[in-house]
Amino acid sequence: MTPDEIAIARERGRSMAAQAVRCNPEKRKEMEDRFGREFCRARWPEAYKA
Amino acid sequence: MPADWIKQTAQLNLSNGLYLNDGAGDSVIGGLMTGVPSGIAANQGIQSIPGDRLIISEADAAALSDTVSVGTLYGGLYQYVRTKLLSTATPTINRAVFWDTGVAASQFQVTPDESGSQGVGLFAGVCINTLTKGNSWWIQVAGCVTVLFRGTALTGIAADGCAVFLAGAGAGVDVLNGAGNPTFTQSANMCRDYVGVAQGAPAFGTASLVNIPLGRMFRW
Repeated sequence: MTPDEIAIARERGRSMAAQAVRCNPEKRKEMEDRFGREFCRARWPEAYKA
Repeated sequence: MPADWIKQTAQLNLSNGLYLNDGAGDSVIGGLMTGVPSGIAANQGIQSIPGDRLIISEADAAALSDTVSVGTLYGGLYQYVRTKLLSTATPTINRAVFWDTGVAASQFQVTPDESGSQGVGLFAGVCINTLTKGNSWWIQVAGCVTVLFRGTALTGIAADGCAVFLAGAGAGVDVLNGAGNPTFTQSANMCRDYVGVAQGAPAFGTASLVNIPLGRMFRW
């Protein structure tokens, strides 16, 4: 894999997880309890946009 | 491919709780259209095509895991593949799957069956869901993954940190460590069949964690 391909694959994985956090309240709470709200907001910012 | 180009976010399966390790896979590459018009075997426009890859961190994996009814996913490399419609076995969760050398490599088609002529198939990855034959979905290719060990007694001494190998004939994975010196043929086969390193002592007939290195990829 080239560096570009790795970057794309990493971003797709992160954004897919953000989709789960944004759309699933139970999962969002589980992640916030486990990693902390600040980490979750930093990792998946689009999941916290109004 | 330019660095500033990014694919659309891969779609989670809305009918199965938005988890990566849930559902039976996509019956249409990229995901079946579920809105109006519905019921048509048409792509819903998601840009996931066989061969696509995801790299998931531990936190991402936790967010994508249905830990209540399925299990836990771990960080690593995942690849979107198509499963063989007419395979003998079913691509069940935690099962190793192999590249189907009977079709063009560009189709990224996997099968839970291992070729009789090859003995041991080209390792593709491990199913993270139980997929319907012919459907497309993500399999884990590298990283820490839960893998089903073969149903009969393991060949070697199962221990935390032991090497894990393909058992052959679609039987799962096995451990081979033990006393004695291997022949050149056995050494060559161990190189060919190597899967990864066990995390925790595995047992036959059960699923256990295996760390699979990136270097086991045969299709890009």
